[in-house]
Amino acid sequence: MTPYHRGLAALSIVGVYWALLLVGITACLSIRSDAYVASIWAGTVAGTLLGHALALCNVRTRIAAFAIVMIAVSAVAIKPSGIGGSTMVAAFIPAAGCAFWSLGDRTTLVAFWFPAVVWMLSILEHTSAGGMPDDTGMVLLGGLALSFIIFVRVRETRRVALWCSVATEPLALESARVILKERPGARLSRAGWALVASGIAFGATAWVAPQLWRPEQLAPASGTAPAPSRHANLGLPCCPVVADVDTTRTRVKEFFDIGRGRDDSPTPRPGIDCRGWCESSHVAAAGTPYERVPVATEASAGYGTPYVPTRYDQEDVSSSGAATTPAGTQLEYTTNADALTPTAVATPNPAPTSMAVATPPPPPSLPTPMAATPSPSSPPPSSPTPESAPTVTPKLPPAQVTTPEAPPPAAPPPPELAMPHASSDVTTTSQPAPAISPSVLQWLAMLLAAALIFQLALVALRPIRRFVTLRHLRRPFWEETVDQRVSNAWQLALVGLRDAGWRASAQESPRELARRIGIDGVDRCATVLERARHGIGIDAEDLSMMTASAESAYRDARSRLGPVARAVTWLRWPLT
Amino acid sequence: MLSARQARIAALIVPSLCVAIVTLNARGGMIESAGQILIAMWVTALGALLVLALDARDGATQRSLAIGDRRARETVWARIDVLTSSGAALISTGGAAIIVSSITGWASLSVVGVLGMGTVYLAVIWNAVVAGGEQPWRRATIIRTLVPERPIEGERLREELRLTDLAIPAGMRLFISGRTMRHGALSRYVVDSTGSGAELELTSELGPAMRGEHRSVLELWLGDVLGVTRTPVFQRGEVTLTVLPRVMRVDGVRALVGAGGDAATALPTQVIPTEGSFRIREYADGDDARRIHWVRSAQQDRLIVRLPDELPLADPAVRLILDNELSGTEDLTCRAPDEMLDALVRVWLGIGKELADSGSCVTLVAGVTSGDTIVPVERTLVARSPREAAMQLGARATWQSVLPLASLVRTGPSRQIIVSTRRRRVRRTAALAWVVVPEAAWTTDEGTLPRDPLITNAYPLGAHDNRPTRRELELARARTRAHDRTMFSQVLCWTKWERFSGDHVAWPDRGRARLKVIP
Repeated sequence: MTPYHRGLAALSIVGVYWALLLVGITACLSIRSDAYVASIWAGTVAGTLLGHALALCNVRTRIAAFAIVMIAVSAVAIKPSGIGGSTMVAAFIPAAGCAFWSLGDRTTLVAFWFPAVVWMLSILEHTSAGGMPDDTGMVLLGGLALSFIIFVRVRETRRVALWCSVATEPLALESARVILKERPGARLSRAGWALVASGIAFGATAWVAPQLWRPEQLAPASGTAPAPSRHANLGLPCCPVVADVDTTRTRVKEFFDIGRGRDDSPTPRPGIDCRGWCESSHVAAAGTPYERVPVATEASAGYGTPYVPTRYDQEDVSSSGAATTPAGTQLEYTTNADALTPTAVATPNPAPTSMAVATPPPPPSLPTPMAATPSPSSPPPSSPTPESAPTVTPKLPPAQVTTPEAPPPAAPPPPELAMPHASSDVTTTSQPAPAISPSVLQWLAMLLAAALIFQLALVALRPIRRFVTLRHLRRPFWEETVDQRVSNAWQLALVGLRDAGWRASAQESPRELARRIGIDGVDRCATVLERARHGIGIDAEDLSMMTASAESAYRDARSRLGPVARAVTWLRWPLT
Repeated sequence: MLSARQARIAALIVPSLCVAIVTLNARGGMIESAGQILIAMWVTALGALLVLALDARDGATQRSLAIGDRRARETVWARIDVLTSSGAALISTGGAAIIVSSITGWASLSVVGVLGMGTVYLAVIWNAVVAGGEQPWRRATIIRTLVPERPIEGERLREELRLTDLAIPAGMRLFISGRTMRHGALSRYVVDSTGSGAELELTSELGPAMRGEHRSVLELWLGDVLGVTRTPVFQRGEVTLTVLPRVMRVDGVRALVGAGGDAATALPTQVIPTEGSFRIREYADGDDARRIHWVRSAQQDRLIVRLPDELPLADPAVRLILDNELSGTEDLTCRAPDEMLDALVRVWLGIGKELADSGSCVTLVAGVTSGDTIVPVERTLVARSPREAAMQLGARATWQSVLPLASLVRTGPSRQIIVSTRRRRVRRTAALAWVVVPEAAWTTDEGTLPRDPLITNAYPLGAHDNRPTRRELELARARTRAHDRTMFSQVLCWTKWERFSGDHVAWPDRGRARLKVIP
């Protein structure tokens, strides 16, 4: 190992580190880009550059730490306008430290932490309120694990280079090594191991790591959320009613406090947390398909003692007027985004009931999370109904029910409910964050897929290349000189030998090679080849013998392989 | 204070235990289940190590009669010492990251913690499964040769390794390290798993050969490609090398044996050509006409000439004794003792060669190792005869404290010359000539104490030799070396030259030695 190789190994670490950072930054930029994030990336890039420069200059750790802190302090003093100084320093110092340690000894995990932070910003954006990543998050997490394996490996490669070339005592200078014979398929097993190791790292990280994340609850904010609604006659509350409540949001904490969080409102489960969607419950705000839910309207059917109305029910009743559905009417709720037409599908008990069909409260004026609750008098827009509060239209007989107010037909498309919300003073903005756009990630994934497909295509073409080459070596496609034919036959023999693992070294003459490997036919090939090289005339008989011997050597060498190894040799390139 | 091995083994237990306590005591169900998963991986890794330890204990028990109980225990500890220092750091920082993440809640810390600890667990399991036993070495053939086979001191030496049928599992690397000569270069090789089952030739340039008999062995071990774990060290490829001393040209040897000439260059008596002589012969073309013995010529009726008389050889038989008696040199870490002995041997052989070439029958005498003891060995050095035996004797010479110099000296009329580093009292005979090889003139400086640069590291960032413990160790070694050098110099120091008046001193002079008489 020369200093050149050592330098190359160090640069490979720097390259992998920068690739890690850039992919993480790109993925994050596809999600969010504003002045705050810009200051983070400015600090990151500057810090990483400084850290790597210090490391490549072999500066002592204490001196490097001093330089990093001094430069950070200076940067705060002369920060450009529009860039948050403290934010930039918060990114600059760890970025510089981790970049410096990326070339250090026994600092693998410390060095990997900062790129992991950058990646986690994207991963956490794809994480549910419960702290579990979605599919994209899982892929990113797996990619991070894979990157870790690559990072550790290139670091170890450099460490080995240092071990071979740096010591307190004089080291022997290793000359070029010679492979005389290799085991067929050795590279294949190594590639297989790399795949298995990567897969295990991918799986283990995606399985275990999210379970260690602890979602934190952000400060409550006014918003709309499904609220329980009870009918006076039923034991369970009606399924969600959009009401003004203080919504709670959760997110997984990270070093950079820019996580936006997710709603943490529990979704009522029909039949368990609520009894279905009463006519008083909801306003159709968006067309979410629902199943038909038969609801017994008898006062005590299945619920024991008659239900005592709650304040919700009173509110509902007071806002909607008297109930008109007779007791015992089985209501069927069907999915219909456009109409509220409850339909009585059966009337086992024609007695009138006291069921109140409430007018649903007006939907909130989303998407501003911190916005005040809209007044009931405002026209109900097409509510951005959360998943937990689907819009249900109870179908009732027109003569028996009071038709609730229909939503305005031309409502603007509902914005997403999961809007940005941050607890910190930095990230608390009244503006909604842009929707998560996976386009950049998709492009990255497509690029990776294209590269993979290209590689696979190259591998798939190897048998064809080999077939054409061997065909030419056996019977040239065009007229060639006798010497060239002799050389072709020798190459054919070498291909077979290489398939079996034998390799010829540069210092070895053909006769020596033939003696070493002891395969029938190679010695005759070597004899004719050396005659040709020394300018001794080759006649037709020699040429035919050479061709036959080369073919024999080719087959003899390959016959020593198993069928799988023989098949794998068709993927091998270069041939000799 | 823990030793390095104890710290590495503790790293397998302590961080994992802390993480288990933290995660299992966490209130969150998911964290608890993550802790259970990590504990399961940890227990699996420990189980793999337990199997290795039991396997090693069984093997050690079978060999305990041969190697002793202490070494058997060492074998067990060496077998479970699978973590490298990087691996120990990885699992420790991983555990710390998970604990800190439970405090701060930062997701990235938990991710890097899981990555670090999980990587170590998987690497330990993989190591135990594929490289734990002696399987990789069972079929391996390691042929180690040194070229040239019989080098002469100072010749460039090359080490060639041929590895055949070595099983290097996927994901592992083979590390080879060895030192052929005591103060020689360290050879290091790394072979990755593509070399598994292959036939490889590795070559290293070891630098100039150093006189003496050297026996060395290679150390081999496997390490994973992530640098987390390794296997115990196996020793293979033992080789013995004898480096013959280089004979030095020595000027001024004639003064050691008096004024007499030798067989090649006669020293005629100072007489004029016409003076008488008993040695006569018939005139031949080219003879000096002044040497014609006219009386004899007249008597014999042919021209007879007188031959010049010669002085006889001064000392036809010389015993040349090497004084290699010096105790305590084995423990000295500096190069000076070896350099000093090399110089002694070179001068000793050089004087012997010069004397033999001048017609004397030289007997080289030295006390050398034979088995477990030191015995006096004599080798005759005659002009135009093979000197292989004398060279061998020179190669075998080492510092020894068993055989006193007096036991090498004989009582008798023969001339005896002692080549030594300092003149000493020898009671047996007074007819001794001394050639003193002064230590200060024939040894080189050991170098200054290593001092770290102010701004940069002593070695490239990332090299393990930069670690503070290693730097302290290197500094301690350098201090010991300097101390040893001082001790050695003081032992061999001689300042009262007037006491050695009439003896000879050998000074280095442009690649040869020059003998001078001490005034």
